[in-house]
Amino acid sequence: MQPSDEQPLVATVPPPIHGDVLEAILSHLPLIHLVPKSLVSKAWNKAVTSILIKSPKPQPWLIINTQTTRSPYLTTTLAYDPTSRLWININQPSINYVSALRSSQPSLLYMIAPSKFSFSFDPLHLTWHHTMGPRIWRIDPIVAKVGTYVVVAGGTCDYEHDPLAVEIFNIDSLTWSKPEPMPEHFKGSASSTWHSVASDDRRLFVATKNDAVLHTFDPVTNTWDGPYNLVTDRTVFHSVIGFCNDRLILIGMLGDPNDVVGVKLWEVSCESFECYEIGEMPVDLVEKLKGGELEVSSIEGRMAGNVVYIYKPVGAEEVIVCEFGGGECVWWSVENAVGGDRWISERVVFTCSNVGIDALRRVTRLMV
Amino acid sequence: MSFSKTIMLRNYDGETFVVDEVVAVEPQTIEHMIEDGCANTSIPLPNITSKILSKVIEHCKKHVETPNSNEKDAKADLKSFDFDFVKADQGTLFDLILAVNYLNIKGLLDLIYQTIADMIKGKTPEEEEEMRRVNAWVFSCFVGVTCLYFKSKKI
Repeated sequence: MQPSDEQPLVATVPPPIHGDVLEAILSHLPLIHLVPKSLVSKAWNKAVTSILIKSPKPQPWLIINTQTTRSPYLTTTLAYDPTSRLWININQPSINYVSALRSSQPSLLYMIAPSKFSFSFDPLHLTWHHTMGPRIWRIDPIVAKVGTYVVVAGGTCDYEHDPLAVEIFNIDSLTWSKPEPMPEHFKGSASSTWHSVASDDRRLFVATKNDAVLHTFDPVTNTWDGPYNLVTDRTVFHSVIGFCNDRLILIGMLGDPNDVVGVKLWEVSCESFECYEIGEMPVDLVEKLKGGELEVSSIEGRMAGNVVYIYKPVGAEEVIVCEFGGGECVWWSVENAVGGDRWISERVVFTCSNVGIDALRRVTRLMV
Repeated sequence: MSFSKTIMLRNYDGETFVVDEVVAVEPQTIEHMIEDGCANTSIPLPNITSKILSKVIEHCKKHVETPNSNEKDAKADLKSFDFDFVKADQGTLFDLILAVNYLNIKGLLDLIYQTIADMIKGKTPEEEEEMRRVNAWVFSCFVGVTCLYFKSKKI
């Protein structure tokens, strides 16, 4: 019988290493910390792999992409992991400049110019696709990935004759096509300034920010559907939409721009377009969202998985986070890693994606 | 001696610990032994020293005695107790893993695993080096636990 306080216990014949203890210990680490641990030894790599097989839940990270507004237009990428609540610096080469970085849909980052269209839809925007630009010159179009298509709608230059024009890029065949234009409803406001955008694998959802009127577009059948009035609360003056897993979520600001009294979340049925309230931002976080400003006329939302990020579109000092789980909402705020002074000299674009271990393996440096 | 109220635990050092049954059944291993009728006189725990066994009993006692409420104070008190409980040297933590794994006390095991996980988060090369040292230590944990597994199988 061997006493347990002698260090360590030694078997006469080395036993097979079960690794349960190591796996149990490592499973208590957030995903971002598992990546370097997988490099320690073969046994640790195996334990990490086993953990990931058993719980493959990808993490919905908020990605902040910045681009300086002067040549050489250098870019940086920061990511926020809601599990460990850490900011991470993504160490990657600067994205080659085509034009201003933009995003109107959470998972898609793009640059559009008359001669070139570059876009990226992997979670950390490490892989870029390049093609010739759309035929119509656009400034701030609605751009969204729907299945294997990238839909580019509206946002045309003033001198273009067709402000409602839509063009679709097929990622598989690498070709552009031009379906029917947007409905007349969009006349005078057909751009990403006035609309928020979400998509699932089949359809594009476009909602007007100031009156929550929704249209859908199917790039396979080239058909628009709508308008649908998303009825939430009479005091909602500004709203944005997005998808959390398969749920279409609407974030609405209540009150008026000079007196924002609250922010609520609704789930929108993709069939009947009825809205069901699912959460309300705590009052102290509403104040943090406002950041001491008297007038807040708009917000942006980025979401994926079971997490929603809400922030002011310009100069946001704080990002408000809402995590769904078991029918409840957990709210907290995080200081924006891109400080206020950077907004002056850099373009700041938010995206959001589920990040798995493969994407993580390409992350090389942590920023706490 | 009233079996329904107290249980006697006898360890490697030959010491006996008399604990209330409600505390003694926190470890699932002991709960099963009692259910199977193996606890007529005392429960033998030959692979656990007095030092470790008294620590484990202390933890079980605290968690049994603390009311299971959502009261802020009770929760904070328990949290503070757990925080101090795991402030031990690596040797003690190692022994605790072996003992708690054998006794099958899930809550305490999770606490110890989380403590070690926090130790090995490591970022800088210096901390990575520290982690490799812990790696060797944790490696020896496998050997220890696996030995225990094989020993208990023989019994």
